[in-house]
Amino acid sequence: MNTNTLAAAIVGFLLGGLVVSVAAELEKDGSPPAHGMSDVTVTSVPVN
Amino acid sequence: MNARNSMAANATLHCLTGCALGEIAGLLIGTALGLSTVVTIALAFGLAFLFGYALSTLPLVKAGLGFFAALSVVFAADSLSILIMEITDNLVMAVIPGAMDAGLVNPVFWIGMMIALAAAFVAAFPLNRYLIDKGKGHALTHKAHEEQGDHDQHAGTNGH
Repeated sequence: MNTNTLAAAIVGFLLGGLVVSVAAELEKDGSPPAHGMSDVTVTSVPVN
Repeated sequence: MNARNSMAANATLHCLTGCALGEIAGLLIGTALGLSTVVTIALAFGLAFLFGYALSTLPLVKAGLGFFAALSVVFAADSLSILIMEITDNLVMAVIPGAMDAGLVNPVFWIGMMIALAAAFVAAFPLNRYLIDKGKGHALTHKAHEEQGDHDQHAGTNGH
């Protein structure tokens, strides 16, 4: 395997690690979706 | 880019590839096992030298040079370059806030690693350029390949 191929593999590995770690961070934050209404909170209002 | 700068860039990339393999392996192991910063750096340092030497020695051995003869050429050619890279790399990782303590699932670790390796390339390039001008450094490796009648193959397989 030549050096350029190895260097490209290392760059790919680092980028892959970055992508996976960013995805994990986003997952951990539990951010709501940027669109849609899947997380609508329903509250009840007491009636006097 | 003139021929010597191109040769120095290739030599630096060659060194950096070996260093990066060892450095990444060392930091991954150290971070995954929760080792202290000092132990992690020591591990990364050792593995970087191991991988760096291996990556340069194997082509020489394949070209027909004896193992210890190849190793002595590589020691003379690569040691200073790997040392500069490792010092820069680990220093940058240590200086970036939280990079050494960041887990593998923390983007700071990966961004820090990219910055550190890029800085290592920038730091080692002038040294390799100087050594090539003086007929030392990777010029020694090239000479060894030429003596083995393998220069063309080396140029084709190692990016020199």
